[in-house]
Amino acid sequence: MAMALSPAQYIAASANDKAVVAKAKALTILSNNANSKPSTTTTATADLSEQLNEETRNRYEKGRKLGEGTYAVVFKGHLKSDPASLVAIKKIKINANYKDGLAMDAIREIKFLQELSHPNIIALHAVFTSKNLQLNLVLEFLPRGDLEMLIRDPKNVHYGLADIKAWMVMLSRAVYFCHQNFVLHRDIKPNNLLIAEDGEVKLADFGLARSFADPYEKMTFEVITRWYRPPELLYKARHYSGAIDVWSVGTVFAELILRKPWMTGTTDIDQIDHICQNCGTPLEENWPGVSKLDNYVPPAPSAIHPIPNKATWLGNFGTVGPQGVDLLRRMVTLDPSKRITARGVLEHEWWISDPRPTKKEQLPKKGGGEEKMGEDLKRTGRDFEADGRVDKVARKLFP
Amino acid sequence: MSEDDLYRTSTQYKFWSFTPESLAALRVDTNVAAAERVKAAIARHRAARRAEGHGAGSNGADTSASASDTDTDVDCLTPEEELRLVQYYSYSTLQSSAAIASKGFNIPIRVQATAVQYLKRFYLTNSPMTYHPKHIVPTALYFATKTENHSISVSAFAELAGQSEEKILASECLMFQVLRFNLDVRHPHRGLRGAYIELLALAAGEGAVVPGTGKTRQELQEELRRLPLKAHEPPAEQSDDAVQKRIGNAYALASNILKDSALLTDAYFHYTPSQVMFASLYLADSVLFSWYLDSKFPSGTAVPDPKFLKITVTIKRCAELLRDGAKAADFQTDASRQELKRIGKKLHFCQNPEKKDLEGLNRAAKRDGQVEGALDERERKRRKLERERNEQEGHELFGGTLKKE
Repeated sequence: MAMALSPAQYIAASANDKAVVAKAKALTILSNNANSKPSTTTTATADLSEQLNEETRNRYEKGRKLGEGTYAVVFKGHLKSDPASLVAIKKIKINANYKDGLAMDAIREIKFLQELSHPNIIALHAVFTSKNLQLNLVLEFLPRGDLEMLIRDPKNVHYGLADIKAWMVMLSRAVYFCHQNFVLHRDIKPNNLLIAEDGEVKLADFGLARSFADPYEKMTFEVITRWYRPPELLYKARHYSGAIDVWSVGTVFAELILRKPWMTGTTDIDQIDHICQNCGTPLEENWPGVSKLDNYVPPAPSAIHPIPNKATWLGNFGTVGPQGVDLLRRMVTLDPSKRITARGVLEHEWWISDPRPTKKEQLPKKGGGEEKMGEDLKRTGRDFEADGRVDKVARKLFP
Repeated sequence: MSEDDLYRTSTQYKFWSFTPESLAALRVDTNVAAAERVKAAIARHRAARRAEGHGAGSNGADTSASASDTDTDVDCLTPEEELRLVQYYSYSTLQSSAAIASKGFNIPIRVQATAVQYLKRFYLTNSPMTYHPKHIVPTALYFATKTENHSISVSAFAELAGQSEEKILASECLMFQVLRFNLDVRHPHRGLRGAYIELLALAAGEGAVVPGTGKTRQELQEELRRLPLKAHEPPAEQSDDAVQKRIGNAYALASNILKDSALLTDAYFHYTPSQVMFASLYLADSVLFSWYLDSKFPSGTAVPDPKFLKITVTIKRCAELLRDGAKAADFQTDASRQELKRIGKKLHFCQNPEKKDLEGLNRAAKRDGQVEGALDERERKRRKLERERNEQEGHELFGGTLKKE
């Protein structure tokens, strides 16, 4: 049982106040005339929170632009006090088309990153608003690009089993930590796995994350990029668990082995097809209850794919050895209640079988990562989500 | 990592947990700073109006009016009055949620609870004299629907809440900033549900046994059957149905406590969610609570586990806070209505004039960052009308209520 009773760690309010009041007195009364435009930027009326905000803002120096999208601009930056300590500053654009105030992605990302502090999750160092009320996220600087970049460049990037194991264990730790904190990531894929200078993999983009739902509370099924989306979401399940993230981890695992995306459906139906072919057709026998899901269509008997046997899996993914294949199969088990949990993943014997994971500093690297980080962080916002909403304006999240 | 360790990494623990002394000191600091600023702002405001009056020359009546109110001292709210006001508006947040629910948009308790905590956190470093709570409540509630993943469009919400969209969004950024961009609030509600499920399992002889407590499931089940109905009463002998019913009643009672006194008191600032949860269970059925906690410790030891004692003391202290809070949170009595009316009236005269027009401030802030052409005439007129309307509302003694009655 938690018995925490902390002393105040709040910044004392009075320290800066005298100066502020003095400044206020020195200011002319004219700017406060009822007919002139109201002024917020003067420190004359600065609240404690405004002072804090300004202090945070002044702590960082914005450098060159790393990337720009419709949703955000990403800058390289550093602490003013220490030019060697680099950060990425993600400035959220005010979206003219979004009338509902602060964007949901930004809210989710900030909410969860503030709470999750883990070596394999991108660190959020600070948040501040700029003068025009735009949000700025000061994020850990991850200059080595992302996993997608490494996977898709077989000419220049060579990696082996020990490297895959190292990347996978870092990803698995991140996912376990999220779930332990009752957070579902809901968008795990290679280009959300960024790489730090020292080779550490960091799970990023919490724009779709949410806390575990209350019992009976409905959640949206329109999450996770299609190729990495588990069958229960494709069947439009409204109640789901950490198993959805584990499926994504499994598809990333397969992609690392194959060096190309594993199941590349062009539509949601096509994605189900890919899953049936590669993992077997979901049926009541292998997944009790599946036929009750909204989008489930019972297959014609002739179209049923049996769950592939061990030999087939070994044939396709054997490079990671029998234990590795066993772990992969458990991650992409059709029935989410039988799928291995994030904790189960970490307890799997593959990690302790030979070869040992590569040390992070010795993992394969590639140049051009700074821009890639810019690209990864600026991605288009997904403002709407239908979780428990009365209006059903769910935006299609993915093309 | 234990649950305790995890909780200690939360922003709720790091930035929003206080000892009673530090919390009181913070509130006094906030009050003193705000009062100084209010006095300065009102002085500037009056001076400006006087200057205007002189400039216009012809309007003699107005000038004398401004001159006369220069002489009155600004009577600022005390920290106690501020606290009472915030408590009332916390209560009114719950009322508004109920009103909105009756119009068809159900707001789950975790959203309401988060909104109330946002409001309470907001007023730790801000005074109602600076920002009137009636403007902050709708924003807190709307913001909580967003952060708790239960959002609707602001236009739909505005209609339900009987507020303008702009008003709701005007202080959103401000609120976010004041909350130090900490959005996650940990609640005791789910924990209570967990305790309820576990108690039912124990009653059915299916509960999980803590290793080292030296008791079997059957023994625990038997103890529950024989549990006295009240403290200091002889052991009872109850049917399984009766035990189940008892657990259900305790859950319902505790649940209600978590829905109001836990939110209206400072419980969240002083105790962890699990402590608050157990305190509510203690108030609902102290015998059941004591047995439940005891079942987690080794039985038959001569001296009680010091941890057990520490936990019990903490939970009882929290329970006292909740019990007293329930009394203080009764806003239906004549006395408390009178009191609030008085504070409301007082607030009207010590409201910071520079922070009244939140929409205007918000627009100005956005403008500051963007290159924008001159306002067209219609927009200027619209804004002026709006400003006047706001001022009008400010004159209503206790402000427009959030819901239309």
